[in-house]
Amino acid sequence: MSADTFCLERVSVAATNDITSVFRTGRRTYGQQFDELYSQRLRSLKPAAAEAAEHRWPRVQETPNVLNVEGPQATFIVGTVFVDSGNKPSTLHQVERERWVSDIHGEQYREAPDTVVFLEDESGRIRLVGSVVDKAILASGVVAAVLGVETAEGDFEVADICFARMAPQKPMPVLKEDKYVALVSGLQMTTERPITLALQLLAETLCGELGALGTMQPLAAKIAQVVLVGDTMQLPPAPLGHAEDMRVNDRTVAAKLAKQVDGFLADIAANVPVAIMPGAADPADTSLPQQPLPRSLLPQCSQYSGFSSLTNPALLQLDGLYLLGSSGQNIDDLRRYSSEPASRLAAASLGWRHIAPTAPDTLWCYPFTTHDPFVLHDTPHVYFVGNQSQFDSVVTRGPDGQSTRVVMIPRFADTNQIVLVNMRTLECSTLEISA
Amino acid sequence: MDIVKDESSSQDEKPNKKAAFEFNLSSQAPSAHAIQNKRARLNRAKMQTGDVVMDDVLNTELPADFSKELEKLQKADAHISDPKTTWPRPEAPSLDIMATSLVFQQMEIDEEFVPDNNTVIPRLFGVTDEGYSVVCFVKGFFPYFYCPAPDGFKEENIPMVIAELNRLAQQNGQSSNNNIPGLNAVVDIQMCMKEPLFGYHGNVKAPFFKIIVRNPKLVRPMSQIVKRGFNVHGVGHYAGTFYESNLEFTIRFMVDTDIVGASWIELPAGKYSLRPSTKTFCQYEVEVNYNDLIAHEPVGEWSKVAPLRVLSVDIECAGRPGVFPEAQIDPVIQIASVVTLQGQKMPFIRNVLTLNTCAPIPGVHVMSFENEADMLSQWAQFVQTCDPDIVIGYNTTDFDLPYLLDRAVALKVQNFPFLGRIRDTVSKVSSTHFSSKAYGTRDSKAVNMEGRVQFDVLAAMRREYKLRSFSLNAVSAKFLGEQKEDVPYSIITDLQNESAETRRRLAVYCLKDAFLPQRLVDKLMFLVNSMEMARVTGVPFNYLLTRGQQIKVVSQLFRHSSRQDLVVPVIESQGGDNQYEGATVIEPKRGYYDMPIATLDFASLYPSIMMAHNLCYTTLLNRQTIERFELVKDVDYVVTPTNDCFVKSSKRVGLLPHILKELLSARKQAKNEMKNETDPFRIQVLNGRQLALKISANSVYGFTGALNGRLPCLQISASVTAFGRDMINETVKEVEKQYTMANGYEHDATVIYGDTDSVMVKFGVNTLEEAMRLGQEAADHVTSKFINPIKLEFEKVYFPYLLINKKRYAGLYWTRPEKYDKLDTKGLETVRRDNCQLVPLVLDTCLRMLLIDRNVDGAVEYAKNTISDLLQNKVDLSMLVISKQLSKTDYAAKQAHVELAERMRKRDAGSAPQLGDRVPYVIIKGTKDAKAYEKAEDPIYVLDNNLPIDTNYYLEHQLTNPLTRIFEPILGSKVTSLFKGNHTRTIRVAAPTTGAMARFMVKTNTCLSCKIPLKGEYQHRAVCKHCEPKLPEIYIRNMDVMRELEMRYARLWTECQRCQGSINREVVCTNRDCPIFYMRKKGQKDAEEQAKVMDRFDYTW
Repeated sequence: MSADTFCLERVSVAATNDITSVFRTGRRTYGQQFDELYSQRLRSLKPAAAEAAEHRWPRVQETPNVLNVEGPQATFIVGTVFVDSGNKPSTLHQVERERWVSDIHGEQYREAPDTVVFLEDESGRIRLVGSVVDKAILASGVVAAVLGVETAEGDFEVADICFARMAPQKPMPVLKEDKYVALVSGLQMTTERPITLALQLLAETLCGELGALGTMQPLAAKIAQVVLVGDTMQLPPAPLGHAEDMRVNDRTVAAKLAKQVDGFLADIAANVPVAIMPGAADPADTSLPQQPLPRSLLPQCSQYSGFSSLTNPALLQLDGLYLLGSSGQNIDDLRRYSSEPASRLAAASLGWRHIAPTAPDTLWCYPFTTHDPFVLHDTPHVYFVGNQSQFDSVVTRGPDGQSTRVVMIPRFADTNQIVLVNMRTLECSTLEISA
Repeated sequence: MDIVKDESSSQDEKPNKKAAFEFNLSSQAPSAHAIQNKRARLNRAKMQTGDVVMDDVLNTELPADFSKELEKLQKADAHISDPKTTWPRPEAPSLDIMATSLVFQQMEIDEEFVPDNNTVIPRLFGVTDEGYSVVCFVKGFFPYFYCPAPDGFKEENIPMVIAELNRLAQQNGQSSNNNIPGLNAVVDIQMCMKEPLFGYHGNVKAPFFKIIVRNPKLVRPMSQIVKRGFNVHGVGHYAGTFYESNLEFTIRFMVDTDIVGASWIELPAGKYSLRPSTKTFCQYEVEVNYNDLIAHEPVGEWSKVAPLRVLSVDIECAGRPGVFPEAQIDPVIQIASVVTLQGQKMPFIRNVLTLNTCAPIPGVHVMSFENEADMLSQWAQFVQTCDPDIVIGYNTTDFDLPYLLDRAVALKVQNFPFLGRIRDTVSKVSSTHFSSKAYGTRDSKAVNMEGRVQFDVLAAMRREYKLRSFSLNAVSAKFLGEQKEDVPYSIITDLQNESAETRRRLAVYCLKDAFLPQRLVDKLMFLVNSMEMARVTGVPFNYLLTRGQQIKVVSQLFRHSSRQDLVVPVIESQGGDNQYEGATVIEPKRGYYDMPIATLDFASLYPSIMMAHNLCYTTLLNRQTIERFELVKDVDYVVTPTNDCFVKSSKRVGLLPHILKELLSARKQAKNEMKNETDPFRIQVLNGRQLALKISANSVYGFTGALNGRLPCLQISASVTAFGRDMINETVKEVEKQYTMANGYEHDATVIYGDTDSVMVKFGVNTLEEAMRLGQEAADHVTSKFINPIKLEFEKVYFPYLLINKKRYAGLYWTRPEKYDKLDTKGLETVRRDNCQLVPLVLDTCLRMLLIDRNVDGAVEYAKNTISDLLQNKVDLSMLVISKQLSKTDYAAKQAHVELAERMRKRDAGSAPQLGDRVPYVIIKGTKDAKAYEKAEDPIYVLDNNLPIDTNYYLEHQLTNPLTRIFEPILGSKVTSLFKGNHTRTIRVAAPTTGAMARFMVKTNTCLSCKIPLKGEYQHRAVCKHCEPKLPEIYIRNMDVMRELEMRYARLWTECQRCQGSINREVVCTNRDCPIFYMRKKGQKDAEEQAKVMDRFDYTW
């Protein structure tokens, strides 16, 4: 199938991709540690959390740092939550046994009997106790304001918790016509089965090639942008071993896969603008933000001006609509802290004004020093999360009329579903490719 | 807020998914048929919406009763306004001495000199069940010694003897000026019937003088007077041998009153009196006559433990760069204290005193001082108020306490040095020299704190365990399973000088170090076990740390001898080492046994030999005695293999066999009680007791053999070992004679090894069950050949078993056929400090593969891989670090770590190791003729400069010998193939970034694929023009590396954040015992290097 044989009159969007640069690391150094990232985060979010707290508990005094709490007088303190749990795998013990396990996940962190929740700021940390803490949706790294009293043991008995709440939002653009963003996640192409029938059908659907006989063509024509939200490839794992060995590993199979993926995507990109975000299974960084897949990996795609390679997470602006996307690692990690559905955790992230609070503790990330890129200074109109087990969508509203469409995109490889978001109405729907 | 999901639309579609057809399109174009089908299917593509509106999830409504709840919270938490109110003990009610008896557990017994009448009286310090502190002064007890009364002496002449002795003492005293005029040295002399301990005397007692003197210092001069001779009224000049004059006064007192260490004392109502004055900080100060106090035997109810207050302390000093803190100059900046009630999990007092301000710490009472002297004096006041029974810490005896006292002297803090319970007794630092056969010799300091027990956990560790390192880091890593943040000396002063926040950080660290000793004590049950040891052996609690093994046996010996009216001679130390022959070791039949090897052990071999043959001081015979009492060999006495003779128990039961019998039956009883006990704390106590009993029983033999000891008797000890040797040989003979094919067994059994009290038997059978059955049978069979209570026991089977050499073996240990108990190793390189960690790791893994997985090829492969990794520089640096302590003596020969410390001092005096520190180093490649000591280098410096490791050194000097030892029995001469061959051919050496060569190297990028230097427009790209087609693969490979390094960086540094307990602060820990320490540094370097490589790929879009 080639782009020349079929021509579809398609809607277009004004895309400004350069705003994705907030998640670009630039030249990376590693001489630093993670403390500065946490400090930057707290510095960015403390004022908003304190403001929300003053609004919520008007008659209560703030104690400026967590270690200054004293005595039985109710007060509130603002700091970063840290959950200590025996269920977090110990790097130390693994190192001592000379066994590094890359996938360290498996347990619910807050269910361990020795779980302790702390609130920490520059001055130090204080233990939070009480049923309010146990019930709250909390994760390490979240900035929170906490109301309560100090106990005789020096813990902080919590009566209520609040957060920065949703950040300001740019006005929603007014569009005259329906346009769709197609969110595609988890294609998980492998060398054994690079292009399944479902994938081929998907490509043809997105290109509008197959719609002539049915109702799909008008819809396809309204797809203004396709976003591949992570795990486009299912890269065969690198043989474990010493870093020096990895440099000379045979990766011809993986390279072959990359080439097939390149060809497949180039065909789509010839018809409709395509943006690709890396995910956990793609050949990209393990730590967030994942940097864009390079041109060298996708030489055919890079021929098309409509093809772009994004970071993960990524921030897109299409016709004035702000879309924030993640390939799912941040939400998967949050699920270690809460049994809430993923969509609620994503919505909660907006209320925390932070999309990856568990980084760097259990979610690997680059040690930023000058800022924390995961802090939300603006609330997006759409927040989509890829590689989820099923489709889900909620709208979450903020205190000042903010409203965000939160979309959980199912893994295509498992569900044959993609998600279409109407840029005018923010309605969203799944499109299932039945192969 | 409700969330309603519209999922109905997707429900009806599901079954159809199954009907979808499948085929693979990877290599072929879709057929016409397939396309036909697709079209059909696409029409059924389905729209699905999930339109749910929810408010900001986190902004739940404030609960209606919220303000009430808050109010309740505020009230419920009634706060202690002044933490100092938790310091003192509960207020003690006044005592009705006529109606109530006073019962307390004594933890410390010492003596007080009373100048008024030149006597010394025992003092007992302790705590009641309610937690009130007690000091009890015991009146009426005097020291004494014995000497035989001369023949024909008449009892009515005693006053004359007393007068004569006092006259001589007066003379003596005047010349040496150590007596107070007017007070007589000899208080009294009593006549009693006694029998000397040494030798059999036909059970006949003889009259003895019990010469009672005024104070312990007079015992020795008086005994010398007796020895020189004096005029006995009605007899004439008489010179007598003296007995028991060398027994410590405290032990004498405890022996005579039946008080054992850490036991409960009852002062019956009406028999004791209150002291009017308050000379001490104790709540009850009482006096009692020694005849009136009741000493409860620590069994049953009286094995309980009082709510003792345990204070754990740590201090921080601000040193100067490169110098160990000196109390004359460097200030104490923080003192952290935690106080715990014995048996409780968490401390009830946590405080820290800081010099200069300190930000608050939740749950900790922070007291800040502008003036160091004020801080010290507050701490002394704290100790006096909270009145701890036990003071613990890590290296407190040698460092913290002496430093505080020296510092108080330097600052002239008058009210500081009163840390004991006697109000006007000054605590001082003294130097002690401790020497013990079992514990070795060391010089140390001591601080007197009357009435309080000092228990330095470091000293206890050194006694109980053999470790690579005794640093608090290493010890807590080993026993508590956690690494500890270690703030380097050099930055302590910086933290102190910066701000209240940094001082808080220091304080948290200091508190942690104060709490860790408490946790170690709890975890290792040091206090409970020591208490039981004190109770079993009868010595005061503090003797367990300050004295050796002998005193424990002495205490028991005197207790029993006095009951049997025996008197113990004073033997002048003979010194020398007249070595007698020790235990036997059967020549091992080295090899790898892939079949069950049964182990037969003699239970408590030496004690049972002594009991079986009635070996004792009291039963020892010589020619004359045998003739005098006309004793018959083998009827009345035995002749030991060393030709010494001992009378049989039918004539007299020896004292030592009697003691041993009591100890062992008490142990049996404790073990039985343990089985029936349900309370976990009681089980701990009983277990401590049975351990103490076992150790005590085993130390009796050693006591008789210690030539420089109190009461050596080589006839006993040499006979014991000789019997032991014979028994082992007898066992070998018996087993090999009985278990033969000739006797109808499947195989001929062989003893492959034996040591001291055990033999390893190869019965030739292949199953565990069979070996266990034969082992049990053989044990019973051999036991029947020996005298009661000697018992050969079948305990375990090793399968497989690797016998390397004498006292060196490894095996999988089975006590039941279903599942092995453990991997047991003896004498292999696991704890030696001059090994790098790679050695025990490789050995352990190889042994596991050999013995547990029975995978010989796998183990060989693993060993080869490790060697190959080593030669290719793939082994983590932390695995290669060797460390040695920098001690003060001048080394004659140049030593690697000393030279290195000197070099480091030249680089940076501040961070260089100081005297007493362990110097970690790795061996690097040097120039051709570099001396070994020149090749040691600081691991950090090696990482920073990418210096090449001398991998051959590690192979030849670290790995070769241990690996040869374990593989030789299996591989034989082929063992050398481990160290030669293909796997040793690939060698990779790091290119140093400093040094002579580095200066001439120009840094140019090379193609990541073919390594040719990149020039022109390709200069900053990933690959050269020719390799461009391979770019995707090159990218993926390099991304693999980057992914691994990103993960390492993130995991290592987040782990350190968790360990230090803060995410907002920089990790400054320099705990070099922690395996992460070097790794995380390398993680930074590697990630940064690889990030530079990744930048060469084109990310612009």
